[in-house]
Amino acid sequence: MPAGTALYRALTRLYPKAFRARYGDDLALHFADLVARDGPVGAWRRTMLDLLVTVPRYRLESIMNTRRTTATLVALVVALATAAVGAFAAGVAPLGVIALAVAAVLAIGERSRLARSMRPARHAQRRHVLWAAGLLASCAVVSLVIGLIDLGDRASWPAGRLVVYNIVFFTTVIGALACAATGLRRPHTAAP
Amino acid sequence: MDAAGFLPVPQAQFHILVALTSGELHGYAIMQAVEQSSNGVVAMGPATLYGTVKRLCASGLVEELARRPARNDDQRRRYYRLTTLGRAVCLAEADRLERLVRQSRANLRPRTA
Repeated sequence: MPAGTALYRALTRLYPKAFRARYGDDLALHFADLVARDGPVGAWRRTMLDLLVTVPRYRLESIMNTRRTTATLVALVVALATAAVGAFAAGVAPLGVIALAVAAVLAIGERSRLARSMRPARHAQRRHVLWAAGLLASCAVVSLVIGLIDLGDRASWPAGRLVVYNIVFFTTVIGALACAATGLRRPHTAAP
Repeated sequence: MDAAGFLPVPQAQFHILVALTSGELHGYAIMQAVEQSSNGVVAMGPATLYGTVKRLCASGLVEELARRPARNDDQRRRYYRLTTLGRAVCLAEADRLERLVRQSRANLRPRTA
């Protein structure tokens, strides 16, 4: 195997394992064909840009694909949001902000076009979205209870914590309502 | 699923579907066909191509062949072809684009008094 093709094959290890296992040989053959047609410089020009764009994209997609279902991601978001509330209650605000930010990124990413585009089957989406609504509603209730326990018996509620509890509560409530509305709008379809 | 449910088809996917209307092709041949049909405007990298093919296979528009059509070809190459649904989706998207082109031409063409 020529050195260039061997190097490209080594670089394909950056792709998710499943993609590499399925298309690794095709990628290497494809690269060898490109080298034969366009020369090493032309082949690398095309594939380097391709690598830069697709490696992070496929990595992200592998996190959000159907096998790691919506329910798993929602559980992760809920866990992070709960950890954030706990961190704020314990007075470790920076940790809470980080956990909340990661939870928000995951939640937004899950709802993104990228995540939707990776879901070929639509039959399970209604169930997944309604599950998400249920989990977010549970998260809202948990955050409300934690907030009331933390702030309830104080003479004056600290403004910072109050804002954080409000953000968590209303975000999860709005998320739950949005998921419920989306899920209920989706038609019942049979699994293929 | 109905072909209309897949519309509009993303550009890269549509180019691959169009390439496969000519028959069973492997990845590199698909790339060449796409370049040719787009006059070199669309130049997909290998991973973009296989990622899109993977998506099309998952959607049931394209399927991988169990056998290799060319006996003297590298046995590691995978060949792909359109499914019946893929053909219907490709045709539906072509019709949609045709209507769009007709409409844009009608709107842009200078009207004679």
